[in-house]
Amino acid sequence: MVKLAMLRVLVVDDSPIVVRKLKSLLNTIGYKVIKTAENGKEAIEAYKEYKPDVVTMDITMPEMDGIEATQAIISEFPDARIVMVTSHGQERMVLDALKAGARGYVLKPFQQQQVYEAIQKACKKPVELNFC
Amino acid sequence: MPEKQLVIEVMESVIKRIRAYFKSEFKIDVIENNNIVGNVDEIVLHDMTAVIVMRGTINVLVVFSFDTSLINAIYSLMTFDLGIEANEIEIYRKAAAGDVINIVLGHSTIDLQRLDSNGIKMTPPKILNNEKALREMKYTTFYAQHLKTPLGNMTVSLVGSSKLFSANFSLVE
Repeated sequence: MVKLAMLRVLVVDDSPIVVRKLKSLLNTIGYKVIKTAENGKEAIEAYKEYKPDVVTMDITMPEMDGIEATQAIISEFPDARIVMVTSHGQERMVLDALKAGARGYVLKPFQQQQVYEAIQKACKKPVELNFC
Repeated sequence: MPEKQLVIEVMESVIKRIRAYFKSEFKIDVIENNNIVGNVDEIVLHDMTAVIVMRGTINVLVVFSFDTSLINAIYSLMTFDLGIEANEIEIYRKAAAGDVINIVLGHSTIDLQRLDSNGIKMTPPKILNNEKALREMKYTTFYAQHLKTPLGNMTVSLVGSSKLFSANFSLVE
């Protein structure tokens, strides 16, 4: 029997409400939020320090936006699993996020099932860790 | 596209998205009230105001200003299950205002993307609490739409250079 390890998640968003909602939702699913960050710069530092299994990334944030942060993380950690969780619905933004290396895209306001499915889908790509 | 038409399209999209978001998330019905065009120093701000700049072909400051009762209701509906402590309430009330404008404008970019092939950029929301006026904004004009809900009122204003809004701009045409 294979025991699955708990997925470790970094939540990046400048809204404290979204951070609390995502933490609660991810805990309910059975994932563990190991760190939160309020902007892209903090996200990069947090990724380097904590090496999370998955990142949920907002796009519009102060200091550095989520697309720039995703590019930076992916350039150093090509296997990083990043799911955008954002209010931006325009196709151009979705394409920019995917081009930057994001593996999923969830539009706010999110439902638990959408976040769960996006993370599951992001984890299907071959990666070193077999947590998903 | 003429500037006047651009402004009308932005406002129509924003109002449509507010109506849809308030209904689906909070079960709040929104009724459009009167609209107004004027100089920015005449703009009326309510208790809590959230501001985002949309950049690109559409280059406009978008202002959502909420009655106390409305933003309190939205805050309560957004956070009822989050266990907010008494000393955190003000932070989360502001965050609620920021989340509303961010989500509404983010969804509006779906409607407006055909106007800007390079993508519409948005700044993070800035929250003004009990401010009476938008400062340091000379030579600007606004077009506002007042909205009524059973839980309080809000005003959506689009603020831009006087060039953006023609002198005779009026929605009643």
